[in-house]
Amino acid sequence: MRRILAWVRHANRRRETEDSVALRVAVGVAVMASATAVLREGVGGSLLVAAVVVGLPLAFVYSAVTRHRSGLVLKALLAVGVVVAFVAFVSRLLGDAGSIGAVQAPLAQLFLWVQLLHAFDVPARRDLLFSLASSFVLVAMAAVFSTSLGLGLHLAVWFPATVAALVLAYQSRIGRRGCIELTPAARSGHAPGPARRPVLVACAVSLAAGTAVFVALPQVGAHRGMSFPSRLPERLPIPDIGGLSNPGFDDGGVSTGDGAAAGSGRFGYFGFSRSLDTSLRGRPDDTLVMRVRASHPDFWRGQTFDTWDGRTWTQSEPESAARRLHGSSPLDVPLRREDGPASLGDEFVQTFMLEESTPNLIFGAYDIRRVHIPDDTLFQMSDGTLRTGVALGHGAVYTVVSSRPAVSEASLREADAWFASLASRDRAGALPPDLRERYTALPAGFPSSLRALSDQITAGAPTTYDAVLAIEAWLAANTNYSLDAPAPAPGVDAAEAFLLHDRVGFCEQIGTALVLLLRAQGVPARLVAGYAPGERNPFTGLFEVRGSDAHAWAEVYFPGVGWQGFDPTADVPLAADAGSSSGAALWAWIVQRLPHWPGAVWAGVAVAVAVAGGIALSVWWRRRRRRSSEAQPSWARRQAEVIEAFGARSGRPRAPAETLAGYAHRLGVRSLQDPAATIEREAFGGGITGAERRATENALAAASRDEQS
Amino acid sequence: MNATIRPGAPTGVACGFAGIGACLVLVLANTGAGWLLVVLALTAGLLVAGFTLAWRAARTIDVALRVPGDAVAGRPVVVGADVSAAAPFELSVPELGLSWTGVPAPGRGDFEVMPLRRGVVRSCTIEVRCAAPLGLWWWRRRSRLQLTAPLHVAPLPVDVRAPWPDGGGAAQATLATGARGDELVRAVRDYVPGDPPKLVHWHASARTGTLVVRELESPTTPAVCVVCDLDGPPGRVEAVASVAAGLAAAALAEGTEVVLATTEMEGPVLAPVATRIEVGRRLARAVPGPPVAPPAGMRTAHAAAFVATGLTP
Amino acid sequence: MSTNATTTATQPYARAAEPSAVAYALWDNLGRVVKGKNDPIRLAVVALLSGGHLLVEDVPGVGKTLLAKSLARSMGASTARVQGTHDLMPSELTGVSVHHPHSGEWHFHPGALFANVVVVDELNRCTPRTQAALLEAMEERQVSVDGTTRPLPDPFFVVATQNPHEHAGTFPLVEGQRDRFALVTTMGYPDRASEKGLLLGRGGVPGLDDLTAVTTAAGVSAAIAATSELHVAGAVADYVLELIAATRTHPEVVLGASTRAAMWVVRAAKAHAVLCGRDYVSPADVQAVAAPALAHRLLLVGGPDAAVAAALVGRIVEQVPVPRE
Repeated sequence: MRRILAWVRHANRRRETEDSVALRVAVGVAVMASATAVLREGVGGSLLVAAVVVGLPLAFVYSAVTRHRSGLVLKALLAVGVVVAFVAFVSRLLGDAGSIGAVQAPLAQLFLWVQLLHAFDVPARRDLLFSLASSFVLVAMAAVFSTSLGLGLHLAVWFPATVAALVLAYQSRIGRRGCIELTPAARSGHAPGPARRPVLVACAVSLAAGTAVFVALPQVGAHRGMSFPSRLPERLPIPDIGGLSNPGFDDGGVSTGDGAAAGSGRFGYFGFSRSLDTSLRGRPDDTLVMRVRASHPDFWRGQTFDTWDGRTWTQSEPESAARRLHGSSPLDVPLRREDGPASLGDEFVQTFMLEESTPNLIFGAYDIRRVHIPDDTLFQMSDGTLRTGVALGHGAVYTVVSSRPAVSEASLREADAWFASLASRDRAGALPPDLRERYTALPAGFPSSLRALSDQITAGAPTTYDAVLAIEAWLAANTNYSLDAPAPAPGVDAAEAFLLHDRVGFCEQIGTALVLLLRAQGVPARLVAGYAPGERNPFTGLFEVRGSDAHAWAEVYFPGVGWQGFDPTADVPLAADAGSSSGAALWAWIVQRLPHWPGAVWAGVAVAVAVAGGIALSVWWRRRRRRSSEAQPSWARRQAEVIEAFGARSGRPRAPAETLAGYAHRLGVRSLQDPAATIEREAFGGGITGAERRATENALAAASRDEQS
Repeated sequence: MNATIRPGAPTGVACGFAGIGACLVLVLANTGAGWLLVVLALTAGLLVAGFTLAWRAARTIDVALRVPGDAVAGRPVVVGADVSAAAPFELSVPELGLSWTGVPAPGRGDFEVMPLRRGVVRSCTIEVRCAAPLGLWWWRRRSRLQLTAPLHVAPLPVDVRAPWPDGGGAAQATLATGARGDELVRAVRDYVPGDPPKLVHWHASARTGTLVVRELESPTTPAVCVVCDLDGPPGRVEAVASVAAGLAAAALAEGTEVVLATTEMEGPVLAPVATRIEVGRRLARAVPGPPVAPPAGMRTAHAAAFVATGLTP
Repeated sequence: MSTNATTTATQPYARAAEPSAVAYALWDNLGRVVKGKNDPIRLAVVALLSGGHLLVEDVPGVGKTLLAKSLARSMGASTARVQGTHDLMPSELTGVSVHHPHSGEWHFHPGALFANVVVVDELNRCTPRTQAALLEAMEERQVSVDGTTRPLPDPFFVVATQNPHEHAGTFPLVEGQRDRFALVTTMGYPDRASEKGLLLGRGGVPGLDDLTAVTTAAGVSAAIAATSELHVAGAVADYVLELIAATRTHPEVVLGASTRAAMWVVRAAKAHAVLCGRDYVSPADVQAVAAPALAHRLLLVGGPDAAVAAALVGRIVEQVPVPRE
């Protein structure tokens, strides 16, 4: 116990006061940059903002001015302040008993208060370094909160300030009282005072190393689900209970019109509604709709369609039939029979952070098992998709936990055989008759030409999965993707027009075609509307889902496996696979933002950059060599300078045409003559041994001493 | 300075940053926050730069020392240095009592060190550590400097004011009364009342007709032998050496011839010393061992006895 | 005092290899006989070691011949002396083939040049034809008589003397001929003490006859070979070139030193370094041999004058900065 006390006393002993103003400024800038970064993420009220923005600089100035005082009263006041801040933190926690995620904001506030109070009492270098370390924690907190690129600005200030603070702290440590101060050599290589050059070098090297580390690191998502952020800035109930609202596409949920135009919503998608008219044209724009934090990309499903009338997809189930899920967050989503065998597997956590008003659909990867949302009611449709009872607008955050076992090509191929091997009694369990009826239904006037086409394409496909692949291949070979696809004439079957005549369409047409061609073979299939994964931002690590990522694709039912999505529009694998490196993501991100110039222009730019770099490198190298040859006089030169200085002190400087030995002889100091000869041998002969060097140095030192005494 | 560079240890700041970084890795695994990855990569870059740049800086350091021949333990002594370096660093020379001391800039000049231990320094270890510019990781270099002339670190003399053990004052008194028989006659002078009758020079008195007395002088200055018998625990050894230095210095100050009895590596040494520097050098070389017996009849001061009887201040 | 002198004397070649010992022994031995002539003695040894020849210019009676003879004797080598007169024939130097009527054969009778050290006194009294034969032999180190080429002994060292102040009946050497000599030196008058010693008789000063050989012809040959191998730093070579360049741009010089002159400066500097016990050439060596090696190769504005040329080279040496250590 006494040892612990002694240690505490030792750790808290009064240290040498730090007098470097530059170090204080650097630490202050770093702390300010980190604190404002946290504030920027919306932590804390106006009191905290004002306290930090005004109080922090004041605190640093105050502690710099009063650094020599002992300040016991101040310390006591600060201790009280810290206790108050802590009590406030605990009371907020108790008042808002929630998930771990709920702790983050109060914790950050507590940290900011402590940082602010600590800044009033930073007399020593160690205290300043503590401040620097806590600014690191603040930056990390801001990094956890931040979902936008704005943090980059703060980092751009914080990082150089931290480097400068470290450099200045080291210099201050070395130059503290009692250090060995030497007379700088006449042609010394560097000036010791200013820290600009070491700061620049350290910044450049650590930035380069940091970039290398960043590029090499894999992209991470939340591998372990322990924080499930959810937030609703406001709770506006949907007027139609269990109904669908699509505020981004302002037709209020019922889309009509015959291929006239897309709705007036810039980013809204007409697919999120009761019906999807495939004759509609026009696509949402690139408005950022939401950011998704997930460990790997997936299709964010919104809703499905089961009924096709020749032009329009609709949902056969009335909205009033939606199942009402009631409870407190998180809401568990009950298993459905059709998904039963498929819904056990690794958990996949996705957090959706909405930037724009979206339909009141809960997006998520197949199949959603749990939803974290600060509301007590969800509506589950019979197809498993979920709707909220409140509007989802900007700032809303919900987290979805999905799970499904790994599906492989082999398991899909075996599904048919497995189903065939079942006793007829069990077949109803694996593929319920109502499901089969609902998802294989075709309208009465389904063109026979399409049935023929379906037979033709899938002929020779041994399994359902191979049939899907065959249709996808046929679509890829015989249709073209274009957003400017012609609208079908009124009264014409849209699918027939697309598959047999125009053969130009986009995801709705292509997805619809796959569903219909499979249904023609009696395979249960449906159309899904949702969002493509979006592009992963390498800095925030979030998938940025834009309006244009709205997508429609097909889902096919495999007995024993469940619903499996197929996207015939993209016959290439999805970009940004899980586990891809940050470097690849960064590169993709950069390439996307480069202007779209022809290859020749880029080649020219590359050559110019290479040439400029080469020139700069050679100039630098030459300058460096010149400087090093100037800055680093040889040993012989340095020792000769000792002798020359000796002679200069006695008023007999060395003539330019005088050899060193001759000069030593002229000076008439016996103890200089042997060293002079040795120095000449080092300079013009075959070199001397280390012992001779030492002996020469000592002899010269002795001569200087004798001279002084 | 032909010394290999060894990785030393991280500084406290680096440990702090690395520790916070390790905690953040856990947070990152939990939240998957992409910016955290950026912050961590920057921190890693900072640590890497602190590690590599310090190595580069440590490579440029070259320290040459010029060490004088004599010093006194616990007293500062001036050492000359010739330093070339591309960055500030810290220097330590344990043998000269220089613990880690900053060297902010290269150059040439003198600085003070304080050898703490008595003894002969024939070579010293020059230790250099550098964490420039970021102060995150110490790189160390160590080289051995062979001194051209050994540095004798003498014990710090203790101010000894106690009487000689066999009574220096008493000896003087007996000399004055001529109690001993081996004195020489320096001169004769006229009798002054009070002179002891023993000193009357009868032959001369008879020749001159007046009473003359002999004036006496001892044959030589009485030498004193200071015995420095180093034995016992280290603290006592140094105390004895310090007392011996004080005794010899006091005797030399009186103008007395001093014979110093010590034991050196090669064996016991009994030899006169003429100057304080010589005393210091002899005592610097002294090692524990059986002391040589002082010459018979010579006044002897045992330094160990002074320490044992607590006669020193 | 004497022990001190010994240590400093042995210090320079304690580390040095054999050439230094040879050079030092020769220098020391010459100094016993030729009193008060340190510089000519030094240059004689330097010229010998550099593998060149020496021309001594001075008035008669200052010991030119004594120097040459002492050198030959110190080497223990064969020596020959030729007195230059206008009727001296080239064949007297090179040798002649003589027909022996009894045997009916031609026998070659070697001339004066077939010795290790050849002293040619009063060189400028010889006819240009004889001078040319001598200089050719000096350059080629061989003579051709009656179509047979005969090598001259190794080492082969010519010490020529001439009195530059005599004009009547002389044939002064032209510049190209002077260029054949590695070094040109003057003897100078001996100092007063030495002169007085000479006047008072031998007085402990050993005479030529007392001189013993301190090395052999083979030893000298090896020393010459070793000298040519000596290390010359790039900075020192640059320094030599700077000196040469300075002679070329000097306003008082019509024709500056040639590349061959630079080569001889380096060779002589090497020999000088050996004599000083060094195993490398220092700028001081270059300075020491610059005047004797360069002065006679310059064509001055005011016509040939050895003293003026030497002073001019001396000034150049004082002006051109030495290489920094």
